[in-house]
Formats: sequence, structure tokens, C-alpha cells
Amino acid sequence: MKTIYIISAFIFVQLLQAQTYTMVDLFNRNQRYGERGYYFHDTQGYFNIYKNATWQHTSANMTIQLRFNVKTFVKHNRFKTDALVGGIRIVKSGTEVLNTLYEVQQLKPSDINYVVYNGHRIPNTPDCFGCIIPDQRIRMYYREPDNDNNAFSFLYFDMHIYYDRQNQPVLRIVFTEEALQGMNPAYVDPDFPAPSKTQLFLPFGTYDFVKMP
Amino acid sequence: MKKIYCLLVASLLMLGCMQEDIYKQVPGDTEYAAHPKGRLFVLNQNELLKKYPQNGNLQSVLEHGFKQSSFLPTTLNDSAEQYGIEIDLDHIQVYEAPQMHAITYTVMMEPQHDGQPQELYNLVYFSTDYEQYYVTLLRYDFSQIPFRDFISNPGLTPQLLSFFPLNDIDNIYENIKYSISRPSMQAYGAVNHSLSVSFINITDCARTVVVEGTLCKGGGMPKHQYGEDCSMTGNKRATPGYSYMDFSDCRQPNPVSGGGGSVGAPGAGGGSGAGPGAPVKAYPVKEIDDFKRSGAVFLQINIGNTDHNLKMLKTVSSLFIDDIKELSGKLNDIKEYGYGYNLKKANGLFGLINRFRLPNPAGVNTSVDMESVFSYYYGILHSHPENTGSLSKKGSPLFSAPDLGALFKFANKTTAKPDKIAAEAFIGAVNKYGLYMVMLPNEVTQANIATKYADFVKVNTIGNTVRADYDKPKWIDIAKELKDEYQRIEKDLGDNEKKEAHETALLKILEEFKLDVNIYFLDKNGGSFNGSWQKLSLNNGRVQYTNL
Repeated sequence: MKTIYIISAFIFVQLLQAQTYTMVDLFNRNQRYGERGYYFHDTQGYFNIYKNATWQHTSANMTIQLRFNVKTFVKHNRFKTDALVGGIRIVKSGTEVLNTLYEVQQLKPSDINYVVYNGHRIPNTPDCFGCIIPDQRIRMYYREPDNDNNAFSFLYFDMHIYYDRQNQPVLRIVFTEEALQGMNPAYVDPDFPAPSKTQLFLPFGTYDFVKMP
Repeated sequence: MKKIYCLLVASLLMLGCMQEDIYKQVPGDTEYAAHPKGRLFVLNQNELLKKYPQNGNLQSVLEHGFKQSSFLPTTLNDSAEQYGIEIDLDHIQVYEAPQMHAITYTVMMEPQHDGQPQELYNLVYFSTDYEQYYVTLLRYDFSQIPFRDFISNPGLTPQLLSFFPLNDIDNIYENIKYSISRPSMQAYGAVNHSLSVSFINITDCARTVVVEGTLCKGGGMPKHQYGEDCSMTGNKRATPGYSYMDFSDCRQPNPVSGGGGSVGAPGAGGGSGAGPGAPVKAYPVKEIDDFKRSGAVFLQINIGNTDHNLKMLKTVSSLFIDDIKELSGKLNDIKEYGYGYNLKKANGLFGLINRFRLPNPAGVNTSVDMESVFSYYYGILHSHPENTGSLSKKGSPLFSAPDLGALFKFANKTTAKPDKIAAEAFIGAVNKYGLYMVMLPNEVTQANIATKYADFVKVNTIGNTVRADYDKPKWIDIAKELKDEYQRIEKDLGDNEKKEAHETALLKILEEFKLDVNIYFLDKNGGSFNGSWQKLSLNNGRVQYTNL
């Protein structure tokens, strides 16, 4: 009898915790992102073209690989969201300096626990190269591991896919100093220890990536 | 029967009207509490002088006492530094009644500390006829009766009150300094600074009215009382009670005391040595019987302005008005501009020491570098331009996460600014609607800031300084949710919906992440920025504007 009570109580608690969410499109909605009780779902499949592939940029002395996956998170017991999360691998002069590609297969507690995760979509402007669908670019937040420098905490790059003359998809990311939002990575606060991280593995720049076979 | 009811209703209505007449308020004044015979409000020195232009005696008393004919917020009184005494000229409690006029200043003789005071000095000018003013320096001693107990029971006033006999010196700063530094002029009425026998004695013959203060009108429980840390602003804050002692039943001793320089009997038309045409001065209270001679005294403790937010808001909109207008005029530039402000406090007023123009980081015009501002500064004003190049690069219309986080840098006491209070720090953003300010609530202190904002700040190794730690998860989520919503509003909503939508987004996100900061707004008002500050809060999901 006691066991039945315990099981009943457990089920009751589980039922209480099983919150229902009203599904809305992640990018086209009337609700504030994060509004309590909503599931911000990628109903249009915008993320599909990025996921399940490895994208590679190669220059004279640097190779960058990006890999994305789509995950769903319940955040702050307030709302549910789909997220495009990514891992990155950077090789400089033959030496691997950063590799988090494997993380995209893991399920972490939140999108912000990945090195790359999505933000909002950005209206098309003339500098959006090869953009043909509305709001084609997406803002991706980027934070390198073990960061202790405030200037590197809110970094972002803008990303989209266009098609080249051979009609092959090219992933472009534009990563500029504007992402520092006024903060100086070399700043040392006299009241605090200097941050150990003063340089990013990923330099600011515009990068094109091709889809790896 | 019906007629009787009608009569009763009419009588009640009449009583209601009479009550309203009695509790008349003065527009623009902060009314503290209602008393059938008088009204209470708070003024600064300029407002005080302007309020009684016909009262030549009072004008003369104040102008000669303070040695200044006007008190501009930009001017810091040299007397404060010369004598090591400050009198708060920004928060003066005034009581007006047909037979009592009392003007109460806070006197600061040592650096102020967070928390409730152990002792407190008030300078009171009082008069029963609006012509002859007495002046006394009162000392409230909280070593035996705690401040909190006194506030909840203002009837205890005589038991902790003593006074320092003042002299015939015109300059009130010099007068106070002279009085407190002379051994023979120690606090009168106090025994070992613990029991104020004289005030207790004079209550024997006085008719005393005690009115309790009002509690904080915030939603929390228990309600804060006057002097306790409180996040409310304006007339929602707690107010002190008061005592009114009427000495008309007391035996009137001989005219005002001699010894140390008589000032002549009240009604003689002037102070010490006053001859025809000589300036009118206040009669300094030299002994306890002088209170009896005055006819009555009004005692309401004044601990100064503890609404640090409001004080700084008024400072910003008066002292930096030219900068605000300049920033507003540059909103169409594809560039952010800003200033940092180093201030100095004296006599309860802020004065500007230095203004620092914020640089833009190399090659980036879309932000200003806030980190380059020293932590002993009080805050920053900066512009949020309409357009930073293209829609894709549109600046944040309202505060971004780094804007909010920068506030913590200026909230610390520093070696250069040991008297800085966390709730005086500010970050301001000028956008097309006006000036928005973010500030820490009044109850935040150096002692509780690290605990209260543990999810948002890091503390240095000594434990005395905090900074925003943007690697804390809440900051990262706040940054994302703010940017997302600002972007959606800019893209999807009509112009007439955007202002409130931005404010709602900010307030909701702050609430959801429990980042307890206050948001204020000063309307652009056609470019004049001359309106009232408003506090923004949420009420059933909608923005509520409270005029301050």
C-alpha cells in the first residue's frame, strides 16, 4: 500500500512538472522570444541547410571547420526552444588550436553551453551577398572555451548560405570587431587580475566555407 | 427618514470637503504627512529661497547664515570644506502652519556610512510668527534608544534629544564649528551624551503633539519605515513622524539669556547688536529656556535624502542638460557618443569635477568604450543612434547587456570616493524618445551588492569591489533575449508601438532574470528635456509610468 502511495505521489509530481507549451515559429511570431509557456520551434526548417554537415574554410595558414546540429531545450522552466548549435575546429599552421566539433553530438543543458549557438535572423541589406530569401542571415553567438575576458563574452558573427557559380552552397560568416560591443580585450581592470585570455582563436574576418563531402 | 439620510450624507460630504481643505497640498512639493494644522514638504535651498520672497526676515536669515544668495547645483559651498561641516542643501524639511514655521537641515560632521545612524545632527530654524526665527543645533543620540525604535515611536524624542548652544556668529558653518569645538558649549541637556534631561524637563509644561511617520508604500512585507533601506522613490517612501511642543502654558522666564552675548529679546527687530538697517538674524538658542521663549518648537528628524536615485536623476537632468541635448542632436550620426562623469558631493549637492568624452574603439563607431572610464566616476551618458549603418547593424534602442553590466563598475566605493553610494551610479542612454537611465535600487549598499547580484557580478580578492561578470549564464541569456526582442520590435512593429514595446521587453527580461535595477525615463519633450522623471515598472504586463 505504501509503495502505491509513493508511486502515485511520484506520478502526480511528474504530471505537475510536465508543462505544456504553445508552439510558435521561432522566427516569425508575435511573442517575445522567451515568453513563458511557448515553444519556439523552427517550423520552416530554416536550420536544415546548416545541420548534419561539416563546413570548411581553408586559407594559406588556417583551416576552420564548423559543424552544426539542431537541439531542443527547455530554458529556465519558462519556455522551450529549438536551437542551432555548433562546434568549431581551428588549425593554424598545422597545429590544432581549438576543437569542439564533437560537442554538437552531445546534449548540453542549454544552447549557451555550446561554442556557437543561434540568435535572431537579420533583414537583408545590400551587403548580404547572394541573399535571395527574406532575412537570410542569422546571428550566431560565439564564445570560446575557458573565457575570462568580458570583451569576449557577447561575441557574434552573421552567417548565411549562398550558392556559387557552380550552384554549390557556400557558408559565409562575417565576424567583425563590432562584436566586441565597445569593449577592449586588452583592457586590464586595476582592481582585478588581468584576464588570461586576450586573443581569440578565431580572428575577425569574413570567411567562406564549403560543404565537406 | 429619507430626509435624515440625505442630511447625514450631505454632512459627511461636507466633512470630506473640509478634510480636503485642511490637507491641501502644494504643487511640486513632496508632501510627507497630513496634519490638521500644517503641511510638510521637502525643498532644496534654491526652492526654499524662492518660496518665501515676501518674507524679508527669512531671506535675510538664510542669506546671511549661509553667506550665499543663491545655490546653484553647480556651485559647491566653500564653507563646507573650510569648517569641515556640511549642511544638506538639497533635502530641507519644511513645516508650515499658522503659528509655526520650521525649516530642518541635516548637518554632517563626518563621512556618512551605509546603514542607520548612531547620532545625527539637525539644524532647525523655527518661528511662531514667520518673522522672528530661532535657530538651534539638535543632536539625536541613538546609543541608548536605537534609531529604529525612535522612528516607530517619535514620542521618545525628548529622551534622545540634546542641543548644542549656538553663538551670535552670522556664518552658520562657523557658528556650528565654534559651538561644537568649545568645551563649555558641549551638548546642552545631555548627561554623558546619553540622556537629555532638559528636553524631558521642558515637556512637563509643554503641550506636545506627536504624529507618527508613514511607512513605505512598496508591496513587500514588512513595510519599511523611515531610515530603512527602501527601493521606492518619491512619495512612496517612508516618512518620519514629528513632535510639536507648544510652550504657551509654560512660565515665561526673563528675556533671552545673556552670557556669551545676548541677542536681545525676540521682537526687538534684530539679532545681536542689531541697529536700524542692520541685517535680521536668527536668534541662536543658547539655553533650554530659549525654547520656552520661542513659544513653540517643531521637531522632525531629517536624515537627509536617502532616495539616492532621485537625487542623482535631478542632478543629471540639471547639471548635464547640455550634454543630453548634444547627444540627442547627434542621433542621426552613424556613431555612438558618450561622456563619463566624475562628481563631488558637498552640502548634499553634486558638483562636476570632470567630464570625460568616451572614445569609440578603433575602427568601430557603433559603440563607445565604457571600460575606459575610471571606476571612481559616477556614471555615463551615451547616445543610442537611430541607425548605425544599416538595419542589420541597428543599434540597441534601449539598454543592451553591456550597458546594464557597466553600472556595476560605478557602484563601488573607491579610495578616491569613499562616500559614493551604489544607488548613485548611473548609465544613461539617449535615444529618439528621450533619456533612459538604469540605476541600482536605493537599498543596495557596498555590504550587500555582491550577495544580491551574485548571479551577475564577480568580486575582487579583497572582497570590496564588484564588476559585472559577463560569463555568468544569466548575462549571456539576457544579451540574447534582449537582442532578439529589440530586433523583432524594430522589424515587425509600427513606430507608435515601438517605444512601449522596447520598454516592456526590457522590464520583462529584467524581471525574469531577477536583475533588480530601476529604469527611469525623461521625455525628450521637443528637445528641451525639461519634464519630470518617470519610473518605469510593469503592471499586469504593461508598462506603468510613475512621475517622480
